[in-house]
Amino acid sequence: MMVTTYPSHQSPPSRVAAGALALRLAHAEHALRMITGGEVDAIVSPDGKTYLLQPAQEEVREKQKWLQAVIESTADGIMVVNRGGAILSQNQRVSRVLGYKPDELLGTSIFQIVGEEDLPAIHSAFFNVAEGFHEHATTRFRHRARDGSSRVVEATLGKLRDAGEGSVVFSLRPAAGPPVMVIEPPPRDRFLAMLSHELRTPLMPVLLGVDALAEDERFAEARSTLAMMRRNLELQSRLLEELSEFTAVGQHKVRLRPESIDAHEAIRFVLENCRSEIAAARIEVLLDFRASENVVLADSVRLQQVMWNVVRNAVKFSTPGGGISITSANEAPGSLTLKFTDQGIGIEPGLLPLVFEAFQQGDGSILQRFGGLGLGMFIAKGLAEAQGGTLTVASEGRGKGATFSLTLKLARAPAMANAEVAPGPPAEQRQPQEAIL
Amino acid sequence: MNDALNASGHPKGAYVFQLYLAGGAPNSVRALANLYAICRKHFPESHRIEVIDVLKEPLRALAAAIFVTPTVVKISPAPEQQIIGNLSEEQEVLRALGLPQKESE
Repeated sequence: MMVTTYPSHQSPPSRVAAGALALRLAHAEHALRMITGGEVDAIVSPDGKTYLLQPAQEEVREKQKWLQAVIESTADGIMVVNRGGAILSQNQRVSRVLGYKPDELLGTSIFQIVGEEDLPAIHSAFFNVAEGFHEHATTRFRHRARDGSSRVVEATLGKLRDAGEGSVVFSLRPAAGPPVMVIEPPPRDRFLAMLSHELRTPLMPVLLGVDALAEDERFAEARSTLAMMRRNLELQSRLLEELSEFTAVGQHKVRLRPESIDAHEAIRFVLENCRSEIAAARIEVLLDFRASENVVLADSVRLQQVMWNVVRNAVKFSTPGGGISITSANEAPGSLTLKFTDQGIGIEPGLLPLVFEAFQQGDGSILQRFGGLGLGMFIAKGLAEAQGGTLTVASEGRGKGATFSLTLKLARAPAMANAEVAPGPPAEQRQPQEAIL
Repeated sequence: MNDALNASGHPKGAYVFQLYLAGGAPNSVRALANLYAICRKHFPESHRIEVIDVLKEPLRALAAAIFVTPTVVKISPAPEQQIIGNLSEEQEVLRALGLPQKESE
C-alpha cells in the first residue's frame, strides 16, 4: 500500500514544481514497490493500453488453499469421479460418510462401493449427468463400510465444469430413509421383451387374413401356398413367444398355479399337439410309463410348456426315421422322473453345460442347420425349477442321441407332506402363487 | 443543485472514493471488497464508491493520472489522496486516510 497526499495549500511556483516532481517520483517508486509486492494487477500505459499482470505463484497457491478450505469445510463428502467411475479426488468428509480411511478409496471404482441392488440407480444417475442429460441427479444407495456396517448414503451428482472429459462430482451425505429402489430389467431383457411384443402384434391380423383367404373358394388353387404362409407365420409367432418367455423366465416373473396333474396324461396331450411335427419328421414315439405314482404338483400350462419344449427339442434333433422313447418311473421317493430319449445328433460332453444356456445351440453349425433361437431348453429348465422340479441332460456324445430327465414333485408325497396336498379351496378362489426362480 | 450537496455533487461530509480496478483481477476484487467493508464499518451513513474499470475505461485512468490498479482515490473530504494496493491492512488504510483508527470488535 502507498499513500500520496496532495498539498492543499499553494507554495511559490519554483518550489511547487520541485515538490510536485519529488512527489511524482515518490509516487512512481511506491507504485513499483506495490507491483513487485504483487498487490497490483494491471498497469495503464500512457497510450491508454492496459496490461494485466499475471498473479504471482504465491497468489495462485493462496487461491488454491482457499478453495481447499471451502471444500474441506462443507458438510458433504465431495469426490470427483472420472467417466470410468474411478475416484480421482475427495475431501476428508468422504471417508466419514462412507466409513473408509481417507485415502483408501482413491483410484477405486465408485461402482464397487455401491450395493449391488442399487447399482442400476447409480448407473442411471451417473450416465445422465456425465452425458449432460441432467445437470444434477440425486439418488440413494446402500453401501457397506470398512467395518462391515451397512449405511444408506444420499448422493447428488453434478458434471464437473472443467470442460474436461465428463468427470462427475459426487456430494455424499448420510441418508435417513431407505434407498430409492429402481428395479429395471437389464437392458437386453427389456429390449427383448419390447421387441417380441412389438413384432408379435402385427402377426395376428396377418394370420387371420391368411385363414380367411384359405377358406375363400376363389383362392382354392393357392391353398398350398397359403398353408405354407400359415406355417411360417405360426413359426414366427412361436419364436417371438419364446423370446418373451425368455424375458419372463430370466426376470423371475413367472406366475404359477400349482395343482394336481396326471403327468402321463399331460405327456399324451403334448404329443397330440406335436403330432404334425412328429409325423413330418417320420419319428416313432415309444411310451413306457412304469411309475405307479404319476400325479404331480405343478402348474398345468407351465408343465405342458416344459414337456412341449423337451419333446420338440427331441424331434428337432432326431434323424428322420429315428425314434423317441418317453419313460416314467418313481426313482426317488416323492418324485416322478420322466426320461425323454432320442436317437438324434447327440451332444458332445463339452457342450452339455451349454444346452440350458439362453441363445445356445451347440456350435454355430447346429444353429445354421436347425434354426430357432436356442431358448427352448433355457425356458424349459427355468419353468421346471420354478415348479420344484429339475431338468437335466445326458448324452454319450455326438451321434449317440440324448436323454433329458425331468423330475417333478408328486402331489401325494408318501409322508409328512400331507399339509401340502390338503384339499384347498376351489381353483378359482385360490390366489396365484408367485414363484421366484 | 441541492444545498445538501457539495460542489462535486456529493452529500456534504460524505466520504467519496473512486476505485480504479482491472476487471475481476484478484487484487482488484479484494480491494473492492476491503473498501466496501471499511466504508460500511466506519462511515455507514455517508459514503459513495465509484468503480472505474481500467479495462473498459483506460482513458479515465490516464486523465486522473492513475497508472496502476487497484488504486483508490479519496475525492472527498479534501485533501484528495491515493492508495495503491488491495487495502487488506485496514488500520494502515485508516491511518493513511487520516481517519480515527477504531479498535476492531
